[in-house]
Amino acid sequence: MSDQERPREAMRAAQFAEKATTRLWHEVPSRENPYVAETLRCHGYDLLELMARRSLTDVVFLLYRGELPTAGQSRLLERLAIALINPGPRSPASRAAIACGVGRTDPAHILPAGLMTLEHAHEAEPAIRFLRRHIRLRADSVAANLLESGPPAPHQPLWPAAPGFGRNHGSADPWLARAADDMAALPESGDCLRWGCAFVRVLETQGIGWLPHGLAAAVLADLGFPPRSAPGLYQWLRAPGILAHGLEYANKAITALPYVDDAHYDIQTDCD
Amino acid sequence: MTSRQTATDTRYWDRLRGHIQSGAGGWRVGEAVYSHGYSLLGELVGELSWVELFALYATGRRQPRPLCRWLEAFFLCMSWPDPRIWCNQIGALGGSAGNGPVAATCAGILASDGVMYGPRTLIDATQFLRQALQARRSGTSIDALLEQARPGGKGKPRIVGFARPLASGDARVEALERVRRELALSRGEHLQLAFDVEARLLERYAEGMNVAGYVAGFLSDHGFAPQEIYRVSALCVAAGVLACQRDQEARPSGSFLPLRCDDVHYTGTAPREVPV
Repeated sequence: MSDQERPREAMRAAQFAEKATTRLWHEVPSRENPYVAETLRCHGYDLLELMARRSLTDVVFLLYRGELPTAGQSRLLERLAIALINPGPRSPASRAAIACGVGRTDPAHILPAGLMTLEHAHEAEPAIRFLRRHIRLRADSVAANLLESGPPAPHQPLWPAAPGFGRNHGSADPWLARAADDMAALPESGDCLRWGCAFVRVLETQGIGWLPHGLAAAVLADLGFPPRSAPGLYQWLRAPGILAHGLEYANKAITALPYVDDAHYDIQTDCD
Repeated sequence: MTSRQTATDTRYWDRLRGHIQSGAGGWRVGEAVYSHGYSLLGELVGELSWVELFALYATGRRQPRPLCRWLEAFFLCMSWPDPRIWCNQIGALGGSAGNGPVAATCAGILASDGVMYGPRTLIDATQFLRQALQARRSGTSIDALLEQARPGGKGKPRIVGFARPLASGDARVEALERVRRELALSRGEHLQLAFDVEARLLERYAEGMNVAGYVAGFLSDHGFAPQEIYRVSALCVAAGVLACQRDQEARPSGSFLPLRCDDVHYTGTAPREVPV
């Protein structure tokens, strides 16, 4: 086809919205200035009232789910938020934040850089889908079938057959197993978390266990959060620790971190 | 370790502790900065353009100069200074909110990494053309390929790299074809197939090829794997985002598309009391 025959660009006859809409946040303008809000409401509740009467986790739940949580739901979300508050100083996300800190990066960039480095956040979405697909089946049967079709590679953390589960440096993560079991013992825990715990009990001898985003996915699924919200909420859950590690290094000398010397730096030439 | 587990063989990680293996290169202080076997400062600086270096780093291979000239033309095609485009709007909002060029441009680049437009769409567009070429070689007709791409057998085919949001047609295809011809770069079988698919789509559905389909076909013909096409395109929107950041940063903060409270229509729950 010659260029002359190709169709010219033309705007589609799409009907664009006249205004943005939101169901979750209402900004009531002040009488003096229509650009300034005098009252803020989250799903109908006055934010000042929420500040006075409810916890942070209650309002986070409200923001995403549209209703305030029950006491049990709130307790479960708060336990999860504490369990995952910090990926720890060895995680890529915290190390990115630390590199920002010690490199005197603009402090406003520490958290975004850390979150963009957070391991496997995008896997939280398929993890919810995996759990929802399997919770009506026996966990031991599912585990046996998946193992038969191939366990995760020994040095790989992720197990594509079972998103949310895998290996932590070759092992089933023992701390996550304890945290999950603790939450599963709460009366308000749900099917996904309990199924995941049963699944892990079968797989632990194979060195397969919970991955952090899998634990988040299970609890979030039980609390009714949709799969697409899981990667971002997982980032939010991990954010405090990532930032804290970065800030811990923000005033330290550049020598406060190890620097790999040339003897331990192999340049593998692959020039063609 | 819990009692449920046996000791783990950690020798793989033990070997890598405190040790970096790099296939890209590295700095030997006082000696050279090595880059894929070259001395960056001795052999590449002054010799390679930035795009040639970027293509080397994205693929691990030196790419021919004419191909890099074409890549540069592609990056220009993806960087419009129009803040109505989603990623550019983020640059404009960042600039208007007092954020610097690095943060605003990074945010805009991040926004381009999705399934509607931007670098990641090139993976799917490339995979379609690779699979379609195999199918064509096995005797599948283009009509059959289009039929398979109609969701639920209804409506227009949905193929990444063909049709686009907002507008029909894509002037970037002609621009890049012109550059390809001027640089005497070949049109191979992937790109030819993309044009053949477009011809049939136009005939039957009045939809054409977009820049992603074109780029996927062209770079596949020049030996790029899907992930290499994605990687080499990682920053393709950067200049347009930056232009929008600069334009708005120079204006009073908050003056870009200001919204009154009632410019956002609230459709949620009516006011209610917080239960104790």
